[in-house]
Amino acid sequence: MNLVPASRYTIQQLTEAYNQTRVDYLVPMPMSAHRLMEYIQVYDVSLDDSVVAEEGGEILGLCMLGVRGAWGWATRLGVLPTCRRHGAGQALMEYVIQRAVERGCQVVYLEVIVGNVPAYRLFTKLGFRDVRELLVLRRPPGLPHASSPPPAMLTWLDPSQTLLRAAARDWRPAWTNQTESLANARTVGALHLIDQATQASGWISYQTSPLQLRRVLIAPDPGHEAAPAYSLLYHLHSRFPLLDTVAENVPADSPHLPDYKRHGYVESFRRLEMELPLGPPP
Amino acid sequence: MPSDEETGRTYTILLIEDNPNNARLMCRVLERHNFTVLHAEDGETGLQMAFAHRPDLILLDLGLPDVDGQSVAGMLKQPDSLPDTPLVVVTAWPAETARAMVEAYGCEGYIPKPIDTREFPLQVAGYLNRPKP
Repeated sequence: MNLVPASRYTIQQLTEAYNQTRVDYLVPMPMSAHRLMEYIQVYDVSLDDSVVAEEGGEILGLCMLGVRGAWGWATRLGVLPTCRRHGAGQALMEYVIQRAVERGCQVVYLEVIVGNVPAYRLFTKLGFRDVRELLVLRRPPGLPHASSPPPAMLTWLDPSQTLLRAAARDWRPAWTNQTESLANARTVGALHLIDQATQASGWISYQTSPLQLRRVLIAPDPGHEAAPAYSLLYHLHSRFPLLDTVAENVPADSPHLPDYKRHGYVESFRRLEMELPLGPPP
Repeated sequence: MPSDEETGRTYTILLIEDNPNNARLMCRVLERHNFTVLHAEDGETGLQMAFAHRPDLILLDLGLPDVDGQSVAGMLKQPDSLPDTPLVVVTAWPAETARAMVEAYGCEGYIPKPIDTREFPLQVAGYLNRPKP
């Protein structure tokens, strides 16, 4: 088995290989080449630091590495079902961890779907430790069924205003929701809201596509413990009633979860975020 | 129950499934039981075929590239779309999750993967023969 930088392969080859590694996955999430390209761009995946395991010209598995300054992110790890339990997954992970060290990363994050025991065991063996659970929530299209929210001051934010709000967050969102992800996605907007009675304030990000409302994540303004989530969701879905909604990687301890549920969100699956501290760069 | 006994009409099933092996198997099993099967390998094509052909029932995989199964279901169940066409999820997702999605998106039910090739046509026929609410 040879380990080869992923940059030597075409996006089409990587897409086909990735999909083949996931055919029996707990939650199969196949990608098109277009979607994988977008994923690489939005999440700062470095194909030079990502790796493919191959033998005799056949791709057996792959793993990708995103790099943002001192932070690394291992993602899309997968091995063909017939090639598992022979060390390929560990070799792929060790490769990207080494690349993260060489790139000066001080920590590598990853997410594993809760219930994927073999992957969790591998990551633990490599030194990763649990950080928190993240939920993937879905909401079908439709106007809010819940009752009208209290009076509030609403401001719809353009992408640059949204990024300013995102950069001011005093908590660390998951990689997919970090400011860099929102900046790379380009067309992300937000709604900012101040509840007139309580003065609670916060904002909710979103990105529209023809059928979906994506990157939906609620954040309180600095100094507030929780945002007026009920009102934010109410106004967001009043404006976009025809779109199916994805709220990805919402922390399981988010104070806003009850409001998501009141607005019809259901849990699709949950991930465990893990981290591997690498120490300061040499 | 592949056809309407009174009219002799054959039922048309639209299968939206990206995995070619799964799709081949499901098509073969259904066609052997005299269903007419249309196949779309992604969500966008599935939506186009649903509106163009107005099938009697739609079988939908949730894990689709680009436009995923939930978004397809959300679109099909809009009041001005095909809300009365039975929409049945075919998925390997855990039963609890599959049930939650079926309920949230207004689907008629789900069939777990891997399919049981003997049961599968009966399950499909069962959804076709359900009285409209």
